[in-house]
Amino acid sequence: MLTSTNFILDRIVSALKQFPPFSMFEEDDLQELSRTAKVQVLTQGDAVWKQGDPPGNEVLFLARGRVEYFHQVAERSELIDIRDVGDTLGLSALHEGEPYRVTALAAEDCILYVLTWPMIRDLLQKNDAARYYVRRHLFWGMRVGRSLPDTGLEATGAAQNVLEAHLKGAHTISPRPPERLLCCTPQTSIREAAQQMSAKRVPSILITNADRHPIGIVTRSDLVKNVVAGDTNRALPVSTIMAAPVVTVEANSSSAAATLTMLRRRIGQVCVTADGTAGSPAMDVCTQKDLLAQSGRHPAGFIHDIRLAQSPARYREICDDIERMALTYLEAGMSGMLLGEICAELYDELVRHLISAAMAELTDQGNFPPDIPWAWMAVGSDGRREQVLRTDMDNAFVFAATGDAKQDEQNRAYFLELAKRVIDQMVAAGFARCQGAVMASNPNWCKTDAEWIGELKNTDLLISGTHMLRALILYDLRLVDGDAALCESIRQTVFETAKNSLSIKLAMAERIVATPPPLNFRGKFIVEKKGGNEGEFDIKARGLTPLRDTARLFALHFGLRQHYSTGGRWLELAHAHPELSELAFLAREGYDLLLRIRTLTGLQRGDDGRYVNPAALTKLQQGQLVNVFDVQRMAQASVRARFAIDPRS
Amino acid sequence: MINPFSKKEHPEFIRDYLIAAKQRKSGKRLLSDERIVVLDIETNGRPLESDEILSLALFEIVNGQIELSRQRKWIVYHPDTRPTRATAIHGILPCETEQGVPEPELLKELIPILAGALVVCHHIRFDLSRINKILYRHFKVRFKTQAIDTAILAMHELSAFHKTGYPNQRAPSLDEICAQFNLPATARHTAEGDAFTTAQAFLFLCGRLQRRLGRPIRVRDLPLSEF
Repeated sequence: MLTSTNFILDRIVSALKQFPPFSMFEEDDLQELSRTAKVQVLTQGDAVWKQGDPPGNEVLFLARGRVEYFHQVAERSELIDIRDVGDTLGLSALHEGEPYRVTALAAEDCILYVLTWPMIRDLLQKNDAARYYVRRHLFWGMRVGRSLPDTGLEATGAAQNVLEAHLKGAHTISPRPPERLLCCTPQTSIREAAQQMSAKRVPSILITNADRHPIGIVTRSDLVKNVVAGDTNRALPVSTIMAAPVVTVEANSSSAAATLTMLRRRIGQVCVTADGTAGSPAMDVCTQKDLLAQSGRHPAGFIHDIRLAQSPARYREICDDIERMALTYLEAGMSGMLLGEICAELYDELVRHLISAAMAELTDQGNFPPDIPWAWMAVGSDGRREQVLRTDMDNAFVFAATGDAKQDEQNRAYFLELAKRVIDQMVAAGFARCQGAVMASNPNWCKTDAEWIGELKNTDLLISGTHMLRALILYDLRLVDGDAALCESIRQTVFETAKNSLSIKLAMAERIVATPPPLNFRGKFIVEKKGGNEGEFDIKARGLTPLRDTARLFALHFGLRQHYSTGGRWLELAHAHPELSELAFLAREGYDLLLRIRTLTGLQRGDDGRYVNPAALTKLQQGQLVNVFDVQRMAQASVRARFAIDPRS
Repeated sequence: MINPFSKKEHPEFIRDYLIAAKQRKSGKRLLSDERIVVLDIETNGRPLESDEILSLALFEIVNGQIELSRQRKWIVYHPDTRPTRATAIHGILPCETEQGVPEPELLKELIPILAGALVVCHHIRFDLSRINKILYRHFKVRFKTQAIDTAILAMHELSAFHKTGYPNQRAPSLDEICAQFNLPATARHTAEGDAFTTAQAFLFLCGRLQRRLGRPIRVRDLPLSEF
């Protein structure tokens, strides 16, 4: 029999070949796979599968049409995802061998290629790139009922690389069972506390109040210092020697950041509490060793490097390393926000190091620091701990007013000189100077506390264009080095004035509502039509800004001040105002995704990642982006409703 | 020499086929339980008396899925065909038909596949009459089967092709049906391309029918033609 070309087989192969993971397979393998394929047709409204159905033995490739995933909870069915041409259906359920977590309905007439799972599984096992793709991209979309994606692909038995193993389940602190935690009341005697510690063989005991809130901690070294070396009576209550307040972190927050906190504050343990403050029940006490056991490898080494570094070249080298670490972490799927926290800790340490070096240098030259409180503040994105790339710096300086204008100017001159030296060093380390001159070396951003507070209280001035921008940057301030109380007094002013000034809040709300989601009515991205970035999409202005501004507005409006980052603000909002929790969780997740895309684009291109080419994103990322813009619409609607902005105006 | 009056003289596969064809099946059978064979032929485009099958392709639908592993395709042996106008359409050259399978061989493979199956074609009369002709020529039997014409099914299911009563209304072409479903027409005017497209169109039409009925399709819900 003459075997001429087989058009149908070729057609299926060429359809598969266009889309990952099939694009990563060999042509021959695809031929083999297609030979056993079946073609299925679904008309609009047909179910591909129902939630709870056991997975069959087949993977579906959507060759034409659109399938919608619905998640059913009780009586409510919610659209959670859309699959269109080129997407693969059912892979994750097969993979994990568990029932489908969603119902899949054909949204239009569909043609599906039914492929045999064992063959695909074998091909994935053979092909590292394809397996990696499946692990990274397909599973992300199917996270119903999970807070963190479990990206495991154990079924294939593939060895994970070190970084994957490190990141898997390691980037967050998971508290151990609470009965493991050793605690006592403040009235307990020192002897009794020490006996409990040695009986349980733990290095510390937590002192808690009746609500199990941590109020202090006693460690082995406290006992050595006070009782063994010192002469404190063992019969005294434990509260006499405890260290207070306790440094707390939140459960499921970044373990690397917690490690860095410990290193920075030179303590051996942190207390894990329900909401990350000392005002909630304690869940666990983690030592550095505990965290290391959880994480295996972490960027804490950079802190030591920074402390030891002396020369600008070395600073730059360390910063380059940090950026490289950021890229591998992001590529391995780390959250953009967690990474922001880590980088902020590292860069803060660098700034502190540079400040003390610059001060020493000035002192050597006979220029002595004025004896007044001062504080170096991070503002803007730096203040929110979102600066992973060194494409920008935002900082400001505050020093206490003396009441004497002449003396203030003298002090300002000193601090400006200090800031200039620090910033020169930062530039040498690879940071770009702020385009908007938001830098402590700018007299506009180096002021006395009285000047800052006066400016912040002048609400009429604030709502005008440029002042508003300046205020928004300042609203995200965070202490980096210096006097905490001074910085706090300014933050206090921010919250007081903004919270009580309707005109400021309205001005902020209007800015948020003024940015429409960047999708046209066909669901395509609106891209830039002018300037140097035609055909690209401004992810900062159109994506990040509205979500970030909304978080800030709500934080100011409700007086939520525990967190500095956008993600943290959304979380705090979700806890403080359960009616907004759905929006808050979605917005946090969406913001994280946008941040990741932006940072990855920036790292790949070596710029600030502001302009993203939609065509360069994976299909999954495109789909997720579209979902994020739905969230953005929700956020805007919520702002409109709360601040009574007429959608037509 | 085959004696047309003696069934004993038939080869075994024809006998089996005749037995299978005799069993009348109930119209209550569910469509999903049926083995469906979608086929298409390419000919040299002459009137029936002088027309010859040049190639034949078929797909089987089992459980509502087109099984690619059971795809079959034949080029039929014709020693000295001349290019006709149809050659320009289907693109089967004389040199290919010279290497094809002889008609009896084709039938020997084809008939067991068709036995007991529900046959689906587009413009069924055209295809089946040509198959019938060579079946009679070589084995002196007539093709007996229940078959479904996607053109007629489309006239039932798609409002665009409903019978309107105006004279000379013709059944829709495969291209027209594809346009209705927005189906990509693959390798049109090759036997396998058309058979595959017909199979997809058939499944879409069945989907429409099932939605209209609101229950699983039984064989008698379809416009069956008897041959």
